[in-house]
Amino acid sequence: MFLKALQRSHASLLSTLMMFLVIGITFILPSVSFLLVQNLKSISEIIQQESQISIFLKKDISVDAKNKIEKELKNREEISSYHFVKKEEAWSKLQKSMGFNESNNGLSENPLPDAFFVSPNTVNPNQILDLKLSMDKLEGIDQVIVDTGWVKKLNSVLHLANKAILLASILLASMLTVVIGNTIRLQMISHHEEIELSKLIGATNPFIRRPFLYSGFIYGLGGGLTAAISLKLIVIFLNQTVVEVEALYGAKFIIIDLKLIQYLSIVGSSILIAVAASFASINQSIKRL
Amino acid sequence: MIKFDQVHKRYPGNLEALQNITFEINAGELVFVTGPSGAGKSTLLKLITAIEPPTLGTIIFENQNLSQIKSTAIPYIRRKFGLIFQDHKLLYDRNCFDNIALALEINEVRINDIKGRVRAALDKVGLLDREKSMPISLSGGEQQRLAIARAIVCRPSILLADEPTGNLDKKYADEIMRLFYTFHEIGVTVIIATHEMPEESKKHKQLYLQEGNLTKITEY
Ligand SMILES: Nc1ncnc2c1ncn2[C@@H]1O[C@H](COP(=O)(O)OP(=O)(O)OP(=O)(O)O)[C@@H](O)[C@H]1O
Ligand SMILES: [Mg+2]
Repeated sequence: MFLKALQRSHASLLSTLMMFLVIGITFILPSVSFLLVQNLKSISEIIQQESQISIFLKKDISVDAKNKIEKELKNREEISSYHFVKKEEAWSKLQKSMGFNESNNGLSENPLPDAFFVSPNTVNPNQILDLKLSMDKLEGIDQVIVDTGWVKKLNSVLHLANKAILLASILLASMLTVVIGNTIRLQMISHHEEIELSKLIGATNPFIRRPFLYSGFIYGLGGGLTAAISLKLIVIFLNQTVVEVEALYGAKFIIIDLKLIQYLSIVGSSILIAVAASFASINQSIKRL
Repeated sequence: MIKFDQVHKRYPGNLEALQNITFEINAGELVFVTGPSGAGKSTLLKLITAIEPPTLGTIIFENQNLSQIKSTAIPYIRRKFGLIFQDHKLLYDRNCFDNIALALEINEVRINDIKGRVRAALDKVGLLDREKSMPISLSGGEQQRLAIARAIVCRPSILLADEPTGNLDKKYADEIMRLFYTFHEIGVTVIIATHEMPEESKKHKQLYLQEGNLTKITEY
């Protein structure tokens, strides 16, 4: 029965492959964006976990006060680790990294303070804020800076990007509906003699609809699979590039793949859109032919 | 079996194609619908097969009123007829076999039975050796026979033919008419619309149409 209808499915091979490509690409665009946003999100989470609190000390701080601060840091539970950087050390690092040397930097005096760099073991912003406030109160501290601000900004940008992707997906889906609907309509027009005759000799509407619905289904299935397979290849390709980057910088980035269920839902929604578009188009044409 | 009662048919923007038509056709009859071109012969056949609805009046087919029938029931009514159209309506994108198989598929005949029945129908009209040919490569008479094979393959109890011998030589026309007589002899109701009456028709019922009016019914 299915095979028979497939045989009657009126799509030519070339136009079918073209449809696979059109649908596939339409699905790949938002999917890749989604994939990238997901990955940036997870990176931003890692960074957030590694967010630092920088405690800059007053220039004239006494050794006593400094020890007191260090003791406090050691005792706080929400601090996983900290390290101390002397101002001389920081200064020479900065000079080196900016290509300065003693003679041309124009500064006779080291402008940097001593500092503690603290890694909290929590990502809870309230706890981190508490930590900052209680540090602020200690004697000999000039400034406490929590550098998670840009992560927050990144996150809100990503949130926005997700919305943009959703919107783009809706637009692309309606574009697909139009394209598929139109293709099916043209198919029906090119078979109008068969449709007309079939009606005259007793074909029901479902019978007439069936081969065109199957075309739509095949478009959706093929297009969805094209998208899913291409996506998988993109992930594999990116991960290979990433491995090279990793070797260079020693940092670990792995592109998070989509879950199986997400791949399946790409194929599923592709089929859904294609069949729905075909159905609507068929019902319109069937009345006219 | 078929009963027309004061049936009128008016096409949109046209004079009345049929006016006040009343007649009855019984099962097993062979009926000729005759009259000059434009008299309404084709229209009459279209009304019988629910291809066109009547404008006025009632058409009863097998105790169903065709003027009040639901559109979803129409396909099942049409399957009871074997239709031979004035313009064949053969599909030129497929071979003879597939042209006939389509009718069986529409009638939901089991796939396993299709091959045998198509070949039996082709055999009956003498085209068995042409089953793989494209209809375009057949002569006019052969195309007409192919159309007949498609009409009979579902074993309808009524056969309706619109100008089946329209533009054929007498030799081919006689051949075609003989086919209809054999179907009539095995009990099929046959209705033939034609503007030129064959000899044989004098022995059968005739409905004579003129400018949309049923002017004469002769019963044999
Ligand atoms: N679909 C249509 N729309 C409008 N007018 C139509 C339509 N079909 C037929 N007519 C008109 O109805 C009248 C009867 O047409 P019909 O086809 O029934 O004649 P006919 O007897 O079959 O003629 P012929 O012998 O030439 O086939 C004609 O005047 C024709 O112009
Ligand atoms: Mg006619």
